[in-house]
Order: sequence, then structure tokens, then C-alpha cells
Amino acid sequence: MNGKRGRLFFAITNLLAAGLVAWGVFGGLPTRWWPVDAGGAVVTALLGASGLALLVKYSRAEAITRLAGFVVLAVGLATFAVLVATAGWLGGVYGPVGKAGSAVFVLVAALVFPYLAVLPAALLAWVGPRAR
Amino acid sequence: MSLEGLRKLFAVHAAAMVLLLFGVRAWVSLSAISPEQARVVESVWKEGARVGRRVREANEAASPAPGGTLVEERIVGRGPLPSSRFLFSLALVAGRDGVEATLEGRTVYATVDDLLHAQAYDHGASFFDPSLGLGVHHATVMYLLARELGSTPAEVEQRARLTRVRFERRVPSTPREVPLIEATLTAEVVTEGVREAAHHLARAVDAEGSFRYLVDATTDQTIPGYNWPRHAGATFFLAQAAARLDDPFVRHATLRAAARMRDDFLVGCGKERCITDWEQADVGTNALALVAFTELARTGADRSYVPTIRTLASFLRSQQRPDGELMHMYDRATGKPVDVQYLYFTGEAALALARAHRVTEDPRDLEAASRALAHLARKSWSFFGSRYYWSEEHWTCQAVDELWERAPDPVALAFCRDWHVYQRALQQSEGDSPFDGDGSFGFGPVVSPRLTPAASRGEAAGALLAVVRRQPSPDRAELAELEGELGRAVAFLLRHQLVPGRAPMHLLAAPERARGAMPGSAVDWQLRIDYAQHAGSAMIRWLELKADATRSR
Repeated sequence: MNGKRGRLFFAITNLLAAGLVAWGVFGGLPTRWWPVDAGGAVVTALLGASGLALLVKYSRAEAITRLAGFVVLAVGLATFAVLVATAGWLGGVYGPVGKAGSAVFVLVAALVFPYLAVLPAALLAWVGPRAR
Repeated sequence: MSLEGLRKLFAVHAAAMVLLLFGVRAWVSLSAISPEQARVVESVWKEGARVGRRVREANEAASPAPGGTLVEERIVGRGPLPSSRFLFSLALVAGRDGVEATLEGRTVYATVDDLLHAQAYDHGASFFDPSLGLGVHHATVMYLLARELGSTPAEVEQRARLTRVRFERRVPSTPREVPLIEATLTAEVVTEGVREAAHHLARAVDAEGSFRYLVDATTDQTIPGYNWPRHAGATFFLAQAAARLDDPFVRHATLRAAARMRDDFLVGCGKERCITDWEQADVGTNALALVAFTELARTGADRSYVPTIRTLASFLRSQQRPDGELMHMYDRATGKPVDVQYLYFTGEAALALARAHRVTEDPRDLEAASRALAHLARKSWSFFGSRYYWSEEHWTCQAVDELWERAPDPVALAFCRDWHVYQRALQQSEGDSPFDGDGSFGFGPVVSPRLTPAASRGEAAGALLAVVRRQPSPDRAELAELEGELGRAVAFLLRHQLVPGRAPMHLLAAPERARGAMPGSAVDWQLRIDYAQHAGSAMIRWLELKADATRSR
């Protein structure tokens, strides 16, 4: 892995992102729905584990960080895709109520993108491919 | 830029943001008023117009107000006002803040009452819907201050020193009521609320049976426009109230409003007959008319509506698609339904057919109602994230209750429960916003909570509560949550009903005509008939459930 600064940066960023996702899913959403709760729990756990592992220089930090990057990126891209598709669906199907909902879903998609797509992509680029 | 440079930039930026946050907060916060600065703005109001004003020291005696209503607005805090029109508009808390203007040594006020009377709050800008306003109307404030100063709005805007002022109103001639909260609600208080709302609507029905649909309460001017679904809905509430109160005045108005639909607007719609006043008929009007007519027949007010109930039920069934959804319009020119969908109509039709079945005993009505409800609870609101973004389902929940004894739908019940879990998460508590909003369902701390969402969710909470109580072993926690949701919503509605002692009736041009009405919000005093309808129906639901609970003890 590349350098002390990069490790510290991603350790702190991952921990902050884990906290933000946990707060957003379990504190911000008004009701519970298992697909989103499960996704939120997985992302929180992986980013949190990666952050902690990087912080304490755990020997398997690289593997954990790589796994976190892949899984969070997959979850993030899927979430982004489904949010954008839902926004289109709402706007097209539900008339005025749907248009307001469409705007909300586009906003949510824009909000999650940096944390669930840009961050894991940067994480994967930083940690690099697994040594053969 | 190097990584080190970027790191320093972010560090400096973060520090600046913290300073900015606390700096802006300290700058805009209201400062306390010292005893030397304490002032009271006295106004005398008569027939909805201000006829006197004096600014006095807090410890001076109040002025006499012969023939008028003396109102004291005490200044309890001050804060700065931004010069930007946009920020100015958002800097005043609706219903609590006014403006002090000083120009060439003279100081005048646009008080909360002045701004309410001018309907300046929540008219700065609108979003999503014209009825959802935000911010104070800047030009109106400038005009009011200019009038006080004998100047022009442009001069006030450019030269006057403007200050945000927090006021507390007191009307010495009005005794203070016991605060209306869920815990202090009694059957007597709520019944009186129903009576006031019903009398307000009954007074609004003219000799031909049409309502005075939309009124500006401060001027008593009728605002043009009419809406037949809302006419039908208001007639339904009047029918409920007439039966509950056994009130001939309300009953006669109900019969006029109902006859207006049946006798003047029941026309041929292909093989069916439906209610409309133009070439197209909508499902909403016919569904709510059916609900109203059923209430008239059910309560014995007028059984002559039974044939019309069969007629309208048949029309609604003819509009239903095989999947349970309804086609919401009918084109009389082509003789065909138009397969478009609008908010509320399918839920209204499900409720209407379910209620009509009690009178018609036609199994087709029950089957159609069940299919409409099944569609609403299954297919009509199904997408990723549908648990976090909901439509208006108050009619759906009432249909669940109406059908539960004859055609129970557990999926629809679960759908309604989920909707209420979400709604309760949005229900505001004391302290959530600067407004008197406990029990309301708001958009957040900066938008004045509107009354009708509390009313419609109250109706729906009552419907769900009625179903949950009928379960073999009801969940006590859920019962308590629903009772709280309904009770707090009803208390919120009653606190804002336009009745002496609660509302500033001195600001109204014709207080006796507006009495009993429900405004749009604490600061939006347009009175539309469905505001009183939903609020009154929610109160009746509370009374019914209270009586049931008392009987079952």
C-alpha cells in the first residue's frame, strides 16, 4: 500500500463514511426496510473495518480494504442505478406526485454517489491490485 | 497543487467553516431585551381594520380601546435583517417575527398582526404547489413600513434601518384557555369543534346548495373557483355532523348541498348516469358524492338517495379496469372512459363502493371496492424506496377499515400500517420547530405546518385504530401510538380553529362568518371548504373511538 499519508487519509475517510452511512440509514430514514438496512449494515461494517484496520496497521488491512472497495463499489453502483431508474419511473408513471418523488430520488442518488461510488473507486485505485 | 498544499487548504477551509457557522449563528440570533428597551406595540382593531396604534414602555398603563379590540404585542427579542431580498424573506419566523424600521429618527413597526392581516407570511415564494409558500413577502413588508413612515417602499428599502423583532401577543379582553393538547382533549371540547366547523360550512351553503368555496378570511372576499370533489367531500362531513349533533341547521344545509349534485348535475354518461357539470365526468366527484349520499341514507336523514346510490355505484364499477384500478375520467362526447389517474380518486372510489355496499347490499359493489383496495395496496405503489416516499393514502386506510368486517385484506392493512409508521416519523412534537406545531405533519422546522395534512392523517389514524382494536389480540404499543397520532393531530387542529379565544379574530373583516373555519395554516388564512371537512371528520372519528373505548371498559 502507498505511504503513511494515504493510509491515514483512507483510514479516517472510511471511518467517517461508515459513520455517515450508518447515521443516514439508521438515523435518517423514517422507517425500516430490510434491503436498505442490510445494504447499509454491510457498507458500514466493511468501511468501518477497513478504516480501523488501516488505522491500527493490521496485517490484513490491504485485503480488507480491497474487499471493502469492491463490495461498496458494487453496492453503490447498484444503488445509484436503482435510484436513477426509480426516479425515471416515478416521474413517468405517477404524475405530479411522482415528479416530486423523482426530484427527491435524483437528489438522493447525487448524495450517495460520492460515498458509495467515488470513495470505493478511489480506495481500489489506491490499494492497487492484489500481488500475485 | 501538491498533496501538502491541498491538505493545508482543506485544513484552513475547515477552520473557516467552523468560524463561519458560529459567527453567522451569533449574528442572526435574537438578543434579549433589557428592561430599558422593553416596548409594547399597542393596536386597536375594529371590524378587521387597525384603527389605532401606540408604542409604549412596558411598564406604562395600557390605553383604553372603546368600541375596538386592544391588542398588545410585546417586543421580546431583536435580531439583524439581511439587506438581500431573498435572505430577508427567509429571516422572519412566520407568525412570530415582525420588523422594526427606523428612518430619520422615527421608528415604526410591522408587527405580527400587521403581517398576518396583510397575509404576508409564507408568500415569499412557493415550491411544488402554489399552496406551499415559504418566506415573508418582501414587497408587502416594505409597503406596510412605508405606510407607517409616510414614505415610499423604495425609500424604506434603501434608507431605513430594519431590525427583526420577536413579538408576544396578548389580548387583554380575551381570557386565556386551558392549553389544548392531547392530554386535555375532552368529548365536550371536540364536539364543540365539530359544531363550529359544521356551522361554518353550513353558513357557507347558499340557497341553491353551492358552497362559498374559497374565502380570504382577513377581507371576507370570496376567491373565484370551484371544485366538485371538494363540494361532495364537504357535504359528506356535513351529513356526518348533522347526524352526530342532531342539528337541523346543519342538516338543512347538507340536504341543499347534496340536492345540488343529484338534482342539478346528475346526467347521462353513456349507459350510466354520473355527476358532472361539463363534458367530462371525474371519479373523485362521483365517489365522494356517493360517500355523502350513503351517509344521508345510512343516518336516515334522507332515504330518497338510495336509487342514486345504486346509480353512482354502477357508474364507478363501469370505470374499473380488470386489475382493480379505476379510469378516473369519463368523456361524455365519445361515450368512453379516459384511462388517466389522479391523486386520491382510486382511494375515494374504494371507500365509496365499500360504504355504498352497506346500503345497496349488491355484491358487485363489495367486490369492486375490494379489488380497488387490493390494487392500491399492492400494485399501485410498488417501486424501490416506496417505503420512504409515500403518496396520500388517507382514503386507502379508511377503505381498509370500512371493508374489514366484510372483506378483510391483511396486505392492505399492512400497507396502511407502514404508511402510518412513516407518517408518525414525520409528526412534529413541541420544540421541533418555532411554530405551535405539536401534532402537525410538517416539511421541517422552517415551513409553517399546514392543517389539512394533520386532518387527513388524523382521519386515517382513526381508521387504522378502529381496525387494530378489532384484532383478536391488538398490540398495545401500536394502539398507544395510533391514539397519540390521532389525539395530537386533533389537538393541533383545534388549537388553530378560528374561534374566539384561540385565533386572533380581531384581524378578520367578518369574524362571525369565518368562525369555526380551519385556515390553511396558522399564517395562511385562506379558508377552503375541504379544510373544515377533513378537520371535522377527524374530530368525529376521535369522538367515535373515544365513545367505543368508553363503552368497552
